[in-house]
Amino acid sequence: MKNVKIKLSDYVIKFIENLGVNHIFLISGGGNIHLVDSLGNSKKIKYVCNHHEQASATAAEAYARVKGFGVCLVTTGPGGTNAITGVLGAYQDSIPMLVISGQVKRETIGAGKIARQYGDQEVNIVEIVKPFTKYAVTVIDPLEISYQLEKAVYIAKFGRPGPVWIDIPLDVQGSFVDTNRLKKFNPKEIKPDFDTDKQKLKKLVTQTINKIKNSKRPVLYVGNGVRLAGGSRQLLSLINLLKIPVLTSYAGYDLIDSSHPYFFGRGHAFGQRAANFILQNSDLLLSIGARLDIRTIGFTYRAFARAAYKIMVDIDMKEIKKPILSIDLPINFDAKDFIDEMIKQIEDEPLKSNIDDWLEYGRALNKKYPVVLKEYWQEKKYINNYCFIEAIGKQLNPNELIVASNGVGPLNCMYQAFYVKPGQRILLNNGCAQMGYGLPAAIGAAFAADQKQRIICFDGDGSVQLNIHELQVMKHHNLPIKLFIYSNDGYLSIKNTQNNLFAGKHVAVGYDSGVTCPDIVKIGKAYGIKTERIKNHSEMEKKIKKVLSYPGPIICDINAVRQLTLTPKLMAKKLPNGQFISPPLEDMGPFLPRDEFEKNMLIPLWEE
Amino acid sequence: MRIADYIIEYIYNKGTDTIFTVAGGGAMFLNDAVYLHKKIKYICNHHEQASAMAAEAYAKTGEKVGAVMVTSGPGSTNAITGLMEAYQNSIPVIFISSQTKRSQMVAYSGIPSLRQFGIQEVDIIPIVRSLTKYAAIIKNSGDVKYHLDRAYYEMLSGRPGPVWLDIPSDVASALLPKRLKKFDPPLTDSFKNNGILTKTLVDHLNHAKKPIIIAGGGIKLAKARKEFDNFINSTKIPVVVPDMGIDLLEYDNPNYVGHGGTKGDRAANIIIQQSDLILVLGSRLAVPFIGHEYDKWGINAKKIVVDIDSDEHKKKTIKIDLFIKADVKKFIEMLSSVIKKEVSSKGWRNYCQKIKKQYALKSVAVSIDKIDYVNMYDAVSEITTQSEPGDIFTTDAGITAYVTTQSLKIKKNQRLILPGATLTMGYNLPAVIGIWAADKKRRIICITGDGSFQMNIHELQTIFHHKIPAKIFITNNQGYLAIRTTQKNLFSGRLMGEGGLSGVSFPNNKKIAYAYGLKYFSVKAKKDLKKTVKDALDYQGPVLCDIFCPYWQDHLTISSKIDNGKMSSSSIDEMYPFLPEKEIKKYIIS
Repeated sequence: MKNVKIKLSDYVIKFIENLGVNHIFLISGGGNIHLVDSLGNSKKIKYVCNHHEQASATAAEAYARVKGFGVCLVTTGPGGTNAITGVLGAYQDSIPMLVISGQVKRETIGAGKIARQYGDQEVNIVEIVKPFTKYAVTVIDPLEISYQLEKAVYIAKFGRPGPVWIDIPLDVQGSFVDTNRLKKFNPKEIKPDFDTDKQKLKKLVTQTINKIKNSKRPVLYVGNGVRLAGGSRQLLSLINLLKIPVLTSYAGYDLIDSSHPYFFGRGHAFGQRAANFILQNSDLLLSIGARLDIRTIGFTYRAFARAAYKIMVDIDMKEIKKPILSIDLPINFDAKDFIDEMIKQIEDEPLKSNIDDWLEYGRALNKKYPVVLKEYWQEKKYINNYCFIEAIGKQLNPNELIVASNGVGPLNCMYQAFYVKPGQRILLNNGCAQMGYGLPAAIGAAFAADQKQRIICFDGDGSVQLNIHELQVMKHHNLPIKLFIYSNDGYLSIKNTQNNLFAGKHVAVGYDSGVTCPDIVKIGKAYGIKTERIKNHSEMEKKIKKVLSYPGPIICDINAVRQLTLTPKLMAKKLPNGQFISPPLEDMGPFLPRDEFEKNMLIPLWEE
Repeated sequence: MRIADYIIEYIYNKGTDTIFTVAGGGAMFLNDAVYLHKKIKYICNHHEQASAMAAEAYAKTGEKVGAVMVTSGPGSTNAITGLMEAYQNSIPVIFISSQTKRSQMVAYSGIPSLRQFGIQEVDIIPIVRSLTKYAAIIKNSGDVKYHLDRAYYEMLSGRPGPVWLDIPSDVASALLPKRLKKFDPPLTDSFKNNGILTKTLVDHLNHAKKPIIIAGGGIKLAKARKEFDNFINSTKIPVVVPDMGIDLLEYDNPNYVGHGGTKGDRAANIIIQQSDLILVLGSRLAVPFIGHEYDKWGINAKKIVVDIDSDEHKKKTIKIDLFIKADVKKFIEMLSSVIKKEVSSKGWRNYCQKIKKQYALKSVAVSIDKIDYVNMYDAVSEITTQSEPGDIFTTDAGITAYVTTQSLKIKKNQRLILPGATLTMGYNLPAVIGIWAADKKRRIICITGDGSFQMNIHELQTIFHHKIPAKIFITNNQGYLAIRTTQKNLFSGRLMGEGGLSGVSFPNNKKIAYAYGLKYFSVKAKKDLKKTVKDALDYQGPVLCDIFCPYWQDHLTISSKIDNGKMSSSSIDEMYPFLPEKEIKKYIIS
């Protein structure tokens, strides 16, 4: 066999080229300099330099949401620790991505083991990131590079996806390896931690279908796990076969378009009133690929879908076993395998159930409880978040890539009020919910779309500050990002909490309490980016059109209402005796008159 | 009184008057406790990273405990780089993070590897543990005093460092119980002098012909500035400092030689190599200080190291002849009691001062582009020349930091606040905020590069909000000069990720200043340098001063080369730009 020597850093970049990834997000540094050099020499991979590693990690995460996998490259010490929040977001939202960090040369590795720091700008990053990555390792033996990379990427994608981290010392990066002698990875090393038994799946699916057949009020609740499993297309086929009400989760509300006849809303503590009535009154709940977290099921979690037989399909058994859930039929399988089997069995023997009353009940509720109320449009001075979301939703096209950052307007009101068109994607940082997500995520999405598609990004004036330096990246690459900023004097979400629970004592939330936000139009200009302002409802439609049709990067300031409470919203309720209780999911505030509320209930009322 | 109120009151009573924060849903009770406290001040940053760094700079400047209050999930993880800085630089900072209520925490779910349970939750303690001296969840309200007492004990005993307490929201809102668990600090094994040690030390010092002291940041941490000053004044031993010791002595102090290290100055490194006894006080002898060729460092000298942390000296770098684990203040007091007169010979002292003068940075030729921009060394020299006693400097990373630490000539009572071990880009603005919070009387001069400046640029708004009258100088060389230089020297000039043509561009700082409401100055030619620096320094409010520097700029350094993928470097007195052989021969004394 011929002796083939290759520089290890070149090998790493070649490996990434073969992953089908076209971009790497990075900041160059002394500790990753060989990798940076090899990347610069790559003909296939383009590199994107951010202005903070948090942005690199977040861009790679958003890139992975669109393209299936993302990579970022950071240096030693602060380079690695700066990336943490982005990686945490990927972990909690199950996004497969690879972080490669540079490390000091092997002989000076010792931070946390020998001393607080040994090598120049060193930290034991693997120790820190282990709790929120699926795999993290420092490559000490150059001949293990192929093994570690293959293993890491395999683990990142396998089962419930998530981020992995490979730390490579400087002298390992620069070493030459004989490719014939490289250790290879065998996927059989990794045992699945979920069910893969086909016969068992068949039985469980049959059981599920029987439950649906016998149900009078079935609900299908779907989450982003379906998309992560590669089953979003199949899901639509399944829905067309099932013909039962479908509700969508926070992380997965782009799975089904709002015009779909079986789309019945978004059930969640901060979701829609009609959807929550439907969810809570169901007698059968089939949840696929949603982790059913506390906000989804409501703070009085024992009251969640209490009349329903609950089937939960999730690849992570730990999610099913959470002490807040009581699942009647746990199905610990891959969501797509489950959906495929469902389709197969239903196609073999079509469902013949009659749930017309139930469908009618759900449709009537949706008509009765719209999110965007007519009175919101009467606002003259400012822009109501809900009205903006309705207005822009109308102008957006199918298949649009949308980033919803963090905060009341960009994230929370969006989930309640946005009208999803077919093929649209909504990228959001659900579990971690980092402020400042929007801009780097939009950059990641723009590259994932090969800069061929415009990116719509919603953020708030408080949140956008955290990664504001990324405006330069948007400008540098002339990315067609339409960045809409709700300007409402700081952190509205926290301000609302302080208004509600702390007698309006404002601290650290806005101009009156130590936080000011600069004028985003001035900031935009400083970065040489086109800007626009929308002042009120009357000019909104026209201005949105103008912004959307502008070909390059543009920032649009939204003169948003300063006070806005999420409506509806699950909230604590004060009883006549002064006691506070946390009502069940269906009883959202502002509270309905009791007779109206009772009329909507098909099951006994919850009694604490 | 709620637990949240108790925590804030405790921190305040321990002497911290300002807390750095970004508000969050998870932190609502602690935020409220700050509001109700009235006496404690709070500064809201625009990123938790800035809060952590500001608190760290506050602690360094005020020589007291810094405090950070962050929310759950990303609020906590955003603070980690600042936490690492405090840890690696031995700075006492208390991090208070808020958490979801106990019934929704992964830590108590019985499912340890669950990715998330409560809203915006992450089990932060396992993540930060390796960067703290103590990290714990306050699980029961009755334990609050125990955890705080223990945290403060750990933070301040021995080698200082940060601590992290995670507070579940239902604990934060609970009322303080009557019975509180107590913490009994263990008896510390304080440094004991056994007589033999004294004799050995005195023998070494008396026998040495060419002794030097390496004075590290540990002296500041041990609050031993005064004792150190007295000791040096009476013994007249020449002093060399690593980065963290730069502001220990005035540049003009006759015992001061210089700042050593791979990015130090030539005089200090020559003296290290010429000395026959090196007494290290409170320095961890970091790799960037001793260089990568360990066995060539202090090659003619016996090495005695005094440090509170013995682990630091188990690194397999230089060979230490005598290690003394001690609090450096107590050690200096002990040594001062037995050595009261001059130790080193006049000849050696004069030699040291001659080298100091001969190789003072100004006379080192530094090659630059032909463009008429300002040489970075000229820029920093001008700033340091015009600075006043008592000014506080800060700088962060990259060649700007090297040039700044090489060029500063410390005047009376001046201070230099550095990110030290972590060399974090973006430390600059948060540091300004922290320094100001600790000491509002002194002028703050921040020198940073355009690359670093971007990373926490949002903090300009915090500076604007509080009208912090800092003078922020940017050495604007269109990117990352350190990376550019490495790529030129070691990678055949293949530039990547360093400037406008290789994927990293920067905004126009004039427009940035305008957008954030700051006064702006700029200087593009050396002839305007003096006046512009004066205008900037004299201006009353916050200032951004853009100094246009060459795209290429050499700096004084230990250079490395790559052979077959392996890097190697020369000994620390052979700095680039290299001296002619003849000149080297002249200064060597045998």
